[in-house]
Amino acid sequence: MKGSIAKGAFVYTALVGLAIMSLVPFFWMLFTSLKPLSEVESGSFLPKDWRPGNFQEVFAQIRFGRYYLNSIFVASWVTYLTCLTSALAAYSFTRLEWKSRDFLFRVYLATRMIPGVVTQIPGFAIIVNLGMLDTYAALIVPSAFTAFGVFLLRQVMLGVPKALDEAARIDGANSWQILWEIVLPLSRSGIITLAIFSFMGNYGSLIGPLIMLKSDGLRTLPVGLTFFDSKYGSQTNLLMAASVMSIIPPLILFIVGQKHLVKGIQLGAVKG
Amino acid sequence: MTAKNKKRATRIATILGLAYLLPNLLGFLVFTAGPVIFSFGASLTNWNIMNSPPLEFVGFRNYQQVGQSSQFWTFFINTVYFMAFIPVGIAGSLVVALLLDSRLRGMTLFRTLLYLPSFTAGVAIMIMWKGLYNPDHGLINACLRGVFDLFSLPFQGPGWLQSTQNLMGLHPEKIAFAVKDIGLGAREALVFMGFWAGLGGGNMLLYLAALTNMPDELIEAASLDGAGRWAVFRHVKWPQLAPTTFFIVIMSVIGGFQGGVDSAQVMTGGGPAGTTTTLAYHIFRKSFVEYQFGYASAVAWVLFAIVFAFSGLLWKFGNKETNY
Amino acid sequence: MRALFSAILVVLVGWTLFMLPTSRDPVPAGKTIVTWATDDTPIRREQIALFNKLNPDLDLRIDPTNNDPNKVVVQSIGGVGPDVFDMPGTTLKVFVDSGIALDLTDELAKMGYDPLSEIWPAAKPLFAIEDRTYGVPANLDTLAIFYDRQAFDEMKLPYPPVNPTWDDIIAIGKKLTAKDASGRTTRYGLLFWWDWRDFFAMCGARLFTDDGRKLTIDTPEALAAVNLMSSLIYVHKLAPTASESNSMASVGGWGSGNESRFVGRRAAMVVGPRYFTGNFRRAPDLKVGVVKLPLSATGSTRLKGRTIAVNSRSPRRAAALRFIKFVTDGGYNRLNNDLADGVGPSLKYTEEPKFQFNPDFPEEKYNPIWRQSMLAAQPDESSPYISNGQVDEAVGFQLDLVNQGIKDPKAALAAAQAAGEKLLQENLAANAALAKRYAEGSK
Repeated sequence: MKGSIAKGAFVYTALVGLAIMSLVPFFWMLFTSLKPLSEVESGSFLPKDWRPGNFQEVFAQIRFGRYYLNSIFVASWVTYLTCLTSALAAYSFTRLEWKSRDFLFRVYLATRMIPGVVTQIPGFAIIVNLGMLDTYAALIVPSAFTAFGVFLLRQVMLGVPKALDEAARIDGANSWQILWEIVLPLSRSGIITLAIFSFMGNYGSLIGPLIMLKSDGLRTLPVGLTFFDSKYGSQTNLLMAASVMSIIPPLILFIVGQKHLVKGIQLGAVKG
Repeated sequence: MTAKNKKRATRIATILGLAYLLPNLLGFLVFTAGPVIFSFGASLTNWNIMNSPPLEFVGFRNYQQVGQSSQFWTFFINTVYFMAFIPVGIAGSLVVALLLDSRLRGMTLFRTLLYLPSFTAGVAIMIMWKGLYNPDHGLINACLRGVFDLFSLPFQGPGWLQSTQNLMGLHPEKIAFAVKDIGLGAREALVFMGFWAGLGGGNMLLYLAALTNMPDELIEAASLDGAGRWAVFRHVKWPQLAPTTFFIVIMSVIGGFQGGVDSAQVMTGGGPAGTTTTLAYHIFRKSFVEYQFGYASAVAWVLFAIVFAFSGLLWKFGNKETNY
Repeated sequence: MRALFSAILVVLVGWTLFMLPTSRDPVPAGKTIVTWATDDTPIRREQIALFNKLNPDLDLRIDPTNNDPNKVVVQSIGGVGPDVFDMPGTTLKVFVDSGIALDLTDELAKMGYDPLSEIWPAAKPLFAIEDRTYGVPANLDTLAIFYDRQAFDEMKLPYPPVNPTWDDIIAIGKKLTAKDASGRTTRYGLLFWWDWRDFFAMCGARLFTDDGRKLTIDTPEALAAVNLMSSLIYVHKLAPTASESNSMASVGGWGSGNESRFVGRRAAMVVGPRYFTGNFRRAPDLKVGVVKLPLSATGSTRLKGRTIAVNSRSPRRAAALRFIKFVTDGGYNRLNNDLADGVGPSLKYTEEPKFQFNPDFPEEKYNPIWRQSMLAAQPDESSPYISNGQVDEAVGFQLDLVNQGIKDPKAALAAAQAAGEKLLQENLAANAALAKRYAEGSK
């Protein structure tokens, strides 16, 4: 088994090296969040004057708790809607044969090729005209229907053997059942990945909430963070403290998701 | 089936297909397709967001201007330059994903650690890299200097973010090549930074998901047949990864053409001398700094045409339905 | 799978029922909410607190913009938006032409306030167009040189003269530049913002002819400006290069990089606006003095400021106008002058004894210098035929090349001139009304 010890050693070494590279900015963030303002720009990596009170200070200066809750709330909805509707759409694009199917998919994809900058203003005008300004809906709905999720799940579903569908159809299952009982469970890893992408993408978005909201009670974390980073001066240490605290929900989602991204999905149905 | 029945069956199939599509399609039409169409309309006008001069329909004049603008081509080259390293980045993500797919212990931990840069505040990362790239005091040049000193070679640190030099010797002012313009400048700085960020990023995650989904039996069967690790990869894993690779390539190309706005805004301001201004950043500036929304939309649509054509080619070559 | 999706949906719907009612901001009984789109800073909070105290039936709130003009633009186009907002004074025309900024001339007259005589005269282009007033400056500021008295005391050097020349500053700066054993500079003589417009103004280099029809970038004064900028760094080695300054502080503390570097004693002198004072007050043991920036015979410092305007589409116009009145009044102006946020818009409050000598800050004997500098300052030039952004692009690009050492300053200025003229012609070609105006030769 000499080969696999060498292989293991190689893998671990490479991974540790990469991990260190990834950890450096994170630790910079962490240590900066524990420094007093005057030390932020000093050359030292570690704080000389440890200030765990910074974390409390964040709550004192802005409505951090509410923004936090809003961010998780909105991102959860977006993730849910994206996964659900993209799964249905991808199913339609891969499993069902109908006219103009591939053409319409190309259109979906084509819309992603327009730089977001020029669709920002029309997008905003539409939101206003629908009366959705300054609502949760304005933060949730526009992000839940992009082509990214559809494309991703389409590719994933293409990897699920059609033979299983046919077997089930012979057993009398209709398309709805095939979707939920066979295709989706086998696309689990794709859905988990899409969930992670959607959540993180929406959780960190700034432009949407900045422009669409007026009420303080609806604001999300990125907007709250801008307080610490205005042109008159940045309270970078507090900004980092807030950022460190913000990481927790996507981090938890990621870890939970990773635990489910494990092997062991048996395709015995085909062989047997 | 009779002709009538066949037609009926087709119609039912179409209705069924659309029914599943509907939830996503509705939202898509209103919030994605709508603004897109609007922006095309805007590109045909002289809309200057603040309404001075008065709005008028100008047909394709904006597009003419784009074609004649030498700036457009410079920025286009910038954009393509940044994208040239995409295949390397994708390969890197694949390698990392393969490493993480090993059955050794602690993989969940490593995955989280490697994905950490995506969680870390973008500001923090850019600040860190700005410091690393400092020509006189940054870590990168310090290390390079150390290496050169070992061999007693003279060392002139690359200018990185301050320099307009680049690996292809492109001159900043016109589209020309010159030896004295060769070096490691702002473009390379951003490219390397992007590569590092991408290593543990979304692409890695996608590959990981695909590898996880791969049935063990095939790999075992191949190994039993005496295939070495490289052969297993090339003949079993790689083809299975095809749909994922296709997705990643297309998304990277589309994203690559639209990218560069954040790093330009935070790190370089599009400079020095416009070398890190990509087309997307150019569009951003035209829209929100100069308020020339009509012209900016035209640039965006020209960009769209290029991306569409390019991805069309990729589609032709890559869109295989792997069903076995 | 199906069970999972259904369960999550139930949870989300339930959560929504909780979030919706709690998301509405409490509307204080009997008060009207007025929104001000601006940066959220401690100074703003004090100004707002004062306004709310003086107007108990109103509740002024900040709508943070993150200093990003997008938000106001996009919202105003969509027909919604803040009640009042501020913008850099140089972008006033844009907001006026689009009809977003309300014409305040008559309202202010009704209030008995004549902006053209009460506000610093040089600031007129920042808030008025052709004698119609569209806004009021939130504050005005200009540049001067702060010096660290301790550094001078340590080196037993006399403080700089109140009206120095560049030769004076260079000589002094050289003496105060300190290096350590390895040759790295530990203290610089002078820090300044690498902003070509500042230097052009100081050397008297004009950008346009008076009617704005011709660009005048390629002039001896401009050349002097560019040479001065680079000589301070590369010849006299008073100031850090861009990369050196980056390595001194990759992150700003409270305030921009130069402020915090000065507080960190990394420089003996720093060119800065009055609002630096606020930060310096907070730094322990820092004793500063102020002298004027050296100017050539035709030179001036730049007058900068943000202008507050009223959103013409706001339904709360009366309340917004009361805010405008507040900005012109003593309460706001004295607060600004005391907090050293530049100076307030109404000129006369800087004539008061408390401004000349503020008993709360007895060390600050230099306020008269600020007043004189402000009176002499000039706002940025503008031309109706080419936007400031386009000028920045043309000149900035060429100056980048000069910094790289690729191009010599004279050639760069000539190229900037040519590029600018090309942009101007393109503007004329795209806009018939503008071309007509240009041809008629009137401004």
